[in-house]
Formats: sequence, structure tokens, C-alpha cells
Amino acid sequence: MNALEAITRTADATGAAVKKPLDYYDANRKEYLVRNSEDVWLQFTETQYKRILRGRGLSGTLSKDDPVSEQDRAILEAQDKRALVYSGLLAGWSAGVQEIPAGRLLITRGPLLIEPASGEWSNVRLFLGSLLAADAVQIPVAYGWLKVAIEALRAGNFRPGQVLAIAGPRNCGKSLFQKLITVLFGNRFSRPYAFMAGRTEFNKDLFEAEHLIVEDDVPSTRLEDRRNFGAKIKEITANEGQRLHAKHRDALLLPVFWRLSVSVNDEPENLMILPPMDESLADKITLLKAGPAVLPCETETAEGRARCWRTLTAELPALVAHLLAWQIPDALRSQRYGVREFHHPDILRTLAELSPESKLAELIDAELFSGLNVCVWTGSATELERRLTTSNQIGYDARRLLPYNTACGVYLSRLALKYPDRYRRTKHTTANVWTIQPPLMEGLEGARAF
Amino acid sequence: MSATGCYQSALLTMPESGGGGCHAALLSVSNLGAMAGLSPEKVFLDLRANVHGKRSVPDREIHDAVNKAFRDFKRGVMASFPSPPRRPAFNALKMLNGILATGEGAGEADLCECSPVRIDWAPAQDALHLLALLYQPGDRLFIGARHDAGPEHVHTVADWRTRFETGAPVPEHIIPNPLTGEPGPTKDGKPSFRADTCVARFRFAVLEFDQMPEPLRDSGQPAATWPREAQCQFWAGVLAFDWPIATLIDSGGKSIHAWMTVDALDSAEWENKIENELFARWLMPLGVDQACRNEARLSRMPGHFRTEKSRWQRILYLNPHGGEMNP
Repeated sequence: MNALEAITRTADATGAAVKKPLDYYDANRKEYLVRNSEDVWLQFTETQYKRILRGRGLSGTLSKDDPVSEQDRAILEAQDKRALVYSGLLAGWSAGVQEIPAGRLLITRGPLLIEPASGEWSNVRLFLGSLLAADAVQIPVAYGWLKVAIEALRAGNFRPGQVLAIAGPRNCGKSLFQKLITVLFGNRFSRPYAFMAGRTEFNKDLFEAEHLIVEDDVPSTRLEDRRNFGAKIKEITANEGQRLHAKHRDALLLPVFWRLSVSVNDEPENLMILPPMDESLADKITLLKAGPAVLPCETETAEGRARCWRTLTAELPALVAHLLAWQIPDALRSQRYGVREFHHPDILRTLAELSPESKLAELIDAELFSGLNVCVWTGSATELERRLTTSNQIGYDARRLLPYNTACGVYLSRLALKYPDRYRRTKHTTANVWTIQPPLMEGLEGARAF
Repeated sequence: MSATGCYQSALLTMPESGGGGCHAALLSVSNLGAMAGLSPEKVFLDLRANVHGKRSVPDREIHDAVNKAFRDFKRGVMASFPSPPRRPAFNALKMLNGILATGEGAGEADLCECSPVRIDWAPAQDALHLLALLYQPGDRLFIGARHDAGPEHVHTVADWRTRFETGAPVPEHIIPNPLTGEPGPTKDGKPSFRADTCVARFRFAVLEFDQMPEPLRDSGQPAATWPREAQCQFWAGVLAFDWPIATLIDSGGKSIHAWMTVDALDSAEWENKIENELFARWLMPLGVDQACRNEARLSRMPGHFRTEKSRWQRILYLNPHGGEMNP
């Protein structure tokens, strides 16, 4: 009809035409996404969406000439032309429609990134400096870790980063540091431990936060959980694409920005939540030793804590500005993660003592070299495992330590690397033969074997 | 069961008045009567004969129910629930300002100047020229006073022209759309020769501003007449944007009437496209008088002299082929 066309053209020409709202259809959740007047994306079921369409003046009535109503047409159009593979929050992504090879994403809200601003950040500097004073290199390592993450987040570049583990005494400021990290990374965090320890396969909530936090109040010290935790750390720190699995939904591989921080008390039983450190994990985790942090004001009262928090967060824009301008020292640079990992020797030592191979060494000494038995033991890993697991004294512990059939050989290999004088492997055509020397006895150094 | 059977059955089982559900049943039976193709009068008489119960049911109540049923009933189908108010598909203030800016400075002379048909005759000749240029000789038109509704006011264009050429006075109003010449029911069910149901061809929509468009008013400012200069600028802007305007008529009062060529196929298309789309979504938000949206809308007949205003109703712009699709 000419009249309608002319008026529509006039609306366009005068800039009066209201852009047709583009709604989306999330095929996985069977929901419609509509941007409201406050520019917030909301999700609606089909019934709720029809109400929105009715509010826009679209009729749901069928006519004789047209068996598809205006509302149905809008629904079909959203399903046909604007279908999504994922909608909702997605760590690291800013709000809006994004296309990836897997399909179209609609990110309903992005991270709240802090805009850099020049200014004083002496309180934050003092806090971090005192918290990480145990070793001079810890502070540049921590700054480098923050800098790489902030730069990647601002650039939309999902460069993976190491896990930052902080061990220190109770109430020294570890958790406060994690809270500040959350604010620096977009003010969203999630607790991934249950997923990482293999207790659930569902992980949708993790995809909605940039900062994944593990604290030592819940996690487990079971070796199995620690191993799962270690395996997930490798996934998080090595892969850009992560497998999202929400309840009642198909799993989906999505690129996501994550940084994982772990805070633990430095008692051995708390450090046991950290995964056993092995070669494949060593470059994926930074272990920092924390000491009592100096805070800008007293924190015994709620008011004091709130004031302290306000003081520190007010300085974060200046910290961000500093980090963006600061250069990571050459000695600390890493091609893969931007900044090298650092393992505080004290924490590493304690962890080594808690490692399964250390535990195996204890069991070996208890079983093979108890009393005055100082004869060299020779045999295969399988023979050793059978001997240990059938022992009356240490059998139970050995069976828990060696849950899978190659565990004994793996741990012996690690012991051979750490203590080559005591553990030696000889390759034979049929099997590896291990030679285990007895432990040194006081006053008998140099006279190891009989 | 046929519609007539349903009607009869419902009539015979009318519930008692005075708490039995009689009031609701009046409308139900009326709806069935309309669907059965009965006349409103018959339904009214049937209902009056069958109502019973403690409460005396006044004729007015029956009359209202019958009227409502026949008003809502369209061509054998019950009209659906009323459409929700439609949101404008545009920013009306922006569009008004854009149109006014385009027509800025234009006056009546400018409208005449851009008329494809040069209006070089006296206002008294307007009726003859309008009829000659916009209609076929066989088109039947209503031309008369506001309350005239009889067959004596509906004639062919050829007849009207003969009358005016022989000196008959030009009445003050015209229905721009040609009529059937047959009587049809009004919304109230009364027979009329100029009701919406009497329209034969749905060629024009009448556009008029009875007051300043609401988007142009300051918040809280009461409705007031839109100054003539602004109306001229608006219509000059509209012409610049190529709206299919067939004619602009000076009403001899405060407003300018536009006849927009719409060429709807039938009353169903009129309702869907003109009332629900063109008016509801576009023209009414712009401030066009919503009373103009029916197909048998009266407009001012050019060539009539308004004695009370001492002014001619006259043509300002005339474009016989403005947007015409089915001439």
C-alpha cells in the first residue's frame, strides 16, 4: 500500500523509525532473549515472550487469510534467523552477540572491568608487599600474573595463566587478596572445587565468572581428589576452550577466560589439598608463601573491615594503571604464560614431603628396611607393590597409595629422579628391575649396602 | 445444529431475570441471532417476548445487548477480542519535526504552487473540478449536511455535476469514498445510505488535525488548535515526502483536510490496513484525528461557502493520480 510505504519511508528519512527489536532464541534452553528498556537482556519462556510481543502490538490472532499470527511469525523469525548456541554470562566476554565457530553466543552481561586511573595506591602496595614479603621475587611474580590477566581480559584475548596458590598463616590476608583479584578481574567469582575434584560433572556456574576461587575450608585432602584437582588445573591452564556442561543441557565447548587462585593455610594438613606436584604440573602453578599483611586500618569491627575494603578498592584503578604501564622483568618472562611460575622453596619442600612418592619411600623403608635389615632390595615395581600391599603392617596404607597398577612404577621413577643414590632402575628385556638401597644410618655414612 | 437452531434453542432456554443469568444471556442470544443472519429488530422482539423472571428487564438493556452483538459481528464471523493498543512504530515527535522542518516556511500559496493541477478557478468552481478530476461519472457520492442520511443525498458524480452546473448550492460535506447507493445499517443498527457499510470503493482516508499534535505540546499543556501556518508546513512536508495525497481542502475554518489515497480492496482490508495499521500505528500517534479512521468519514466539500465563517471551503492542492493504484 503506497500510503504505508510513504509513511515508513518518511519515518526512515526523518530518523523517527524505531529499530525493530532483535530478539534471540536459545535453542539449548528453549528460551527467548529480549533486551529491555534498561539495556539488560532478559530470558523468557515462549509464553512469557508472547506477552512481550503482545505488548509490542503484535497480534496472536489467526485470520482466514493468514494462518500464522503476527506473534507466531516473530517467534519463527527468532528461531530461524537468530538462534543461539549459548546465552547468559560467559567469563571474559563483553555483553552482546558474538559469533564463534560453534555458533552464535549472546552474552547478557560482561565483566565490570576497572578503568585505569593515575593516583596513589600506597595502601594496596603496602598490603601486597607485606603479604608476599617472604621472598623478594614473589611481588613481581604476583604483579606479572595480575598484569598478564588484566591485559588479556581487556583485550578479549583468552590467554591462559597459571594457578596462583598462596599458602600462609590463618588470617594473614590471603582471602582478602583473592577478593581484590576478583574485583580486578571483573567482579565475578565462582567456586570450582567440587567440579575440579570430580564430585560433579556440571560446571555452568564456573563459566559465569572470570575468577575461580578455592579456599582451604572445604576442599579435600584425599589423594584421589588431589589428583583430580591437579588434572583439572592442567585443563584450565592449558586450554582456551573449556567444556561447559549444564544440567539437562548438551555439553558445549566454549572459549572462556579463567584465572584460578587457591589460598591455603600453611599447615601440612591444609597444604594437602594442593595436587601432588609433578613435572607436568610444575609450570602451571605458582606457589607463593604469604605472611601477615599490613592493612590500612583495624579490621576487628565490621565497620573497620568495610573501611579497609573501601580504602583498598579505591586504589585499584591506580594499581591497574600501574600494572598496565609496568614491564615484567626479563628474568620472569615466559613465552607461554607471560610470566614465569614461582615455587616458594618452603612450600615446595612441605609439599614434597606430602607427595605420594615421599609416602611410598616411607612405606618402603618401613617394610623393606625395618630393624637391622639393611640389605639392598631388587625387583620389579609389580613385585614391590605386591610386597607392600600384602604387608601386615603397612598393607592398608599401601593399597590406598597405589590405587592403579602403574602407580608404584611412576612413584619409583620420581624417587629415582630425586634420590638417584637410593633408587636405580635397570632396563631388562622383559621388565625394569629396581634396586633400592637402604636409608643411611647415623654414623654409617658411606657404608650404604652390605 | 444450524445457527438458527442454536438461536431458537437459546431463546427458549433463556434463564430467569433477577439473579438467574438473564443479563448475560441477552448478549449470547443476540450473538447467535446475528450469526444466524437475523435482523436486529427481530432479535430484539424475540428477546423481549422471551425474557421472564422476577426482575423487570427494560427495553434499553435488550437494545444495548442486540446493538453490541450486531456491532461486533462482521461478515458471518464473530469479531475477535479487540486488538491491543498498538505502540507507534516510530518516534512521533522526531517524525513531526522532520516533516515540519521539510515544509518550513510553506504557506497556503506554496501548497497551491506544488499542486499538479493548477488551481486557477474561483472557489465556487471547486466542486465541479474535484468531481471531474477525482471520480468516474458513475461513482455514487454522498454530498450533504452533517446529519443528512437519506437517499436524496447520494447521487452519481454525473448527477452532482449537473446539479452544480445548473446552480444548485454545494452542500457542506462529502464522503470521499464512493457509496453503493443502497441502505446499510449504521453501528447502532439504524438504516442509512451513508453508513460505513454503504461504502462501495475504499479509495481515500480523510486526515485532519482537530488540535495540535500531542507530541508537539509541552508537558501538561492543554490541547489547543494547531496554528494554520504549522498545518501548512506539515502538509507541505508531507507532499515533499511523496505521501499519496489526492487533495488538500481548506475547511473554511481552522483546519486543512487531506484525502490520502489508500485504495483498500474491501472493508476487511480497510479494517486491517487502514484502521489498525495506518491510523493506529502511524497517523494517530502523529496527532491525526482518530475520528477520521472510518471509511465513510465526512470531509468538507470544496466549493461550499461557510456563511458562519464567511469563508469558502476550497481546494489547496489537487493531484488526481496521487498514489493511485486502482483508478
